[in-house]
Amino acid sequence: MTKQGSILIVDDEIGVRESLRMILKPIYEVHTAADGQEALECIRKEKIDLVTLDLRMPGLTGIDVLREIKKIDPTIEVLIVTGYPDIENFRQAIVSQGAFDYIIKPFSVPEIIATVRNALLKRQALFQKTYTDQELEKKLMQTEKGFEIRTRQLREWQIKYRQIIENSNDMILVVQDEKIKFANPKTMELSGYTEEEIEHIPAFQIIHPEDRQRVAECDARILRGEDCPPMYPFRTLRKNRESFWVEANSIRTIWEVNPAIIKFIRDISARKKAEEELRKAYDELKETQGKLIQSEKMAAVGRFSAGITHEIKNPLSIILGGTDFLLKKLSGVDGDVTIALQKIKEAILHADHILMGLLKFSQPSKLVKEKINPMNLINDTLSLLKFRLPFKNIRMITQFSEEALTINVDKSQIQQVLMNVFLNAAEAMAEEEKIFIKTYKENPSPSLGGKPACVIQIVDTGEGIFSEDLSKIFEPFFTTKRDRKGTGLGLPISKMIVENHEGNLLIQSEKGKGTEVSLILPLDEGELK
Amino acid sequence: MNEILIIDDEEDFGYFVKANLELKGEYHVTVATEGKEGLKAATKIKPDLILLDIVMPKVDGLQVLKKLKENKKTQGIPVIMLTAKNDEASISQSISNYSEQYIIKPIQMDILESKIKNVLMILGSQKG
Repeated sequence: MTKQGSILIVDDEIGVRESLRMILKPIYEVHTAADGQEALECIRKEKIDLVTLDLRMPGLTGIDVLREIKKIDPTIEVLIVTGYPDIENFRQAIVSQGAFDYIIKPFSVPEIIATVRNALLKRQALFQKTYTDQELEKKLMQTEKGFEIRTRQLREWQIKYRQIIENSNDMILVVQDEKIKFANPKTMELSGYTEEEIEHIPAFQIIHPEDRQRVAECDARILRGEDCPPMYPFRTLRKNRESFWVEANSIRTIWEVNPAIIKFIRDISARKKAEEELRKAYDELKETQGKLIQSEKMAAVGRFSAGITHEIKNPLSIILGGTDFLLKKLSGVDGDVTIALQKIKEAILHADHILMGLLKFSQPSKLVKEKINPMNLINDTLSLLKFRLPFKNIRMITQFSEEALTINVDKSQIQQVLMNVFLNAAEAMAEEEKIFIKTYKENPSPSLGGKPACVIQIVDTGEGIFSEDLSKIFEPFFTTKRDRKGTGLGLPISKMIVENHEGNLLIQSEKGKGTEVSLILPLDEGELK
Repeated sequence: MNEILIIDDEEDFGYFVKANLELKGEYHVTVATEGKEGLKAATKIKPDLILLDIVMPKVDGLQVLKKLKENKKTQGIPVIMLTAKNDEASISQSISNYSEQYIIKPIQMDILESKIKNVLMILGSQKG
């Protein structure tokens, strides 16, 4: 015969335990426990349908045990069996803790059997019909209430999120299949598109053409779930084609069932501008530092050369005197000796030339200024030039300003500069080429701090200067024509002279194309003397 | 034959100037290597022209020039100043009182010679 349920008898009195066991054993499977702890262990281990529970026990009280049983399995029925009729305890046990009923000791056998049966029947009924109508209604009400609460919570969250998104200082947009599916007000504000327009333009239209590929690659990676820099800068494009720098953070999301990307885009144009200004300031600082180092170097060259030049010139004059003597004495005697002596003499004169340059550096002559038309100055220089160097039939094409210009300069010094520039140009050119010389008024002149200037521009179509050499051409002793007896002092001296006149000497050049030299001198706006 | 006196502490320079100028037999050159010696030689030889170095120890060229011009016996002798010094402006200023010429060392001998010739020619025409 199969047992009709499994019962646990909990009582600290062995007599009660055993008598109950004897009564119930023929019908039910019976377990016993002498205290609360043992009872709970048994319940955890065995499948128990009903517990008969003594309320007064050492250790855990019956009420405690009842509470624990219901925690472990609320469907286990509990029958209180006690020798002390304590109505309040029973009420608590039944109403609050869900006990089935109570029996007061001493009990009759039919009473206990009937109560146990009833308790087990109730349990059975509960299992067979999960909800009575009443319970169903209760459940429905609970569900409805829950739904209402959840709806309200959802609405609250929706409002919160919308406020965050709509008031965000960042553009927030959802992109799916190259379309902008959602954009917050900041997006319209910064892009210049209306809400309607933005839904109809391709998503890449708001990205600078040069950055589109990079952004597209990153988006594709995000959609594939691959790694992508969490934040990266690019330029966006407004409706009016203006671009500005942004920084985006993109994440993968689902939008209307399909994968999409949410982009949080921050306008960083102010930061970029600040960075730009910082870089500019840094570059200017570096340039100033470079100039300082340069002028310090010049000053050092000056101090050094002033001392040493005199010491070298004396022995040079002896060597030159000796060489001249030998040349006269041996001329016609031995051709080779004459050639050798000639070369020695050339070298001495070259060394002297360098020393003269050094002297000009170390002790720049005082300016003896006079007001002069640059046209006359140039023409005088060109006529002087006729006597210098083989000229390869190079033609000088002049184009003077129609307006009569006046500069207040040391004529001989500026002539020296012009001579130097003309000779450099002529040397850089092949036969039969042309040098263009132009004068014009520049007002305001950016290189003279906005003051009016007279610009003398000398353009040649010669071999030009390598860009890496261009930055060094004003350094003393830098020369690309050492083989042609260059001293590396011509341009530094020229620049110094022009700067002593509060002017500027600028050189632009491209290798193979030619060189443009601009001699920018302050314009004298007074009357010609 | 023209008599030239060179006063220069650079003995070797004086030697080569003498050697060069005397090569064609047109000049006779006396070399003095310091100021006092030069002044003595000037009064004694009465040269047609003096080449005078500016930077010299003890008595320098400018002092020698002053003394030459103060002395009636030598004040008529033309002087060409020699210098390896840098500052042309101050040189020309310091000797301008005596309207003398100057030459910056190193100098090519034929240039020196042509300068000497020029000075002597001018002097000759003044005398003549």
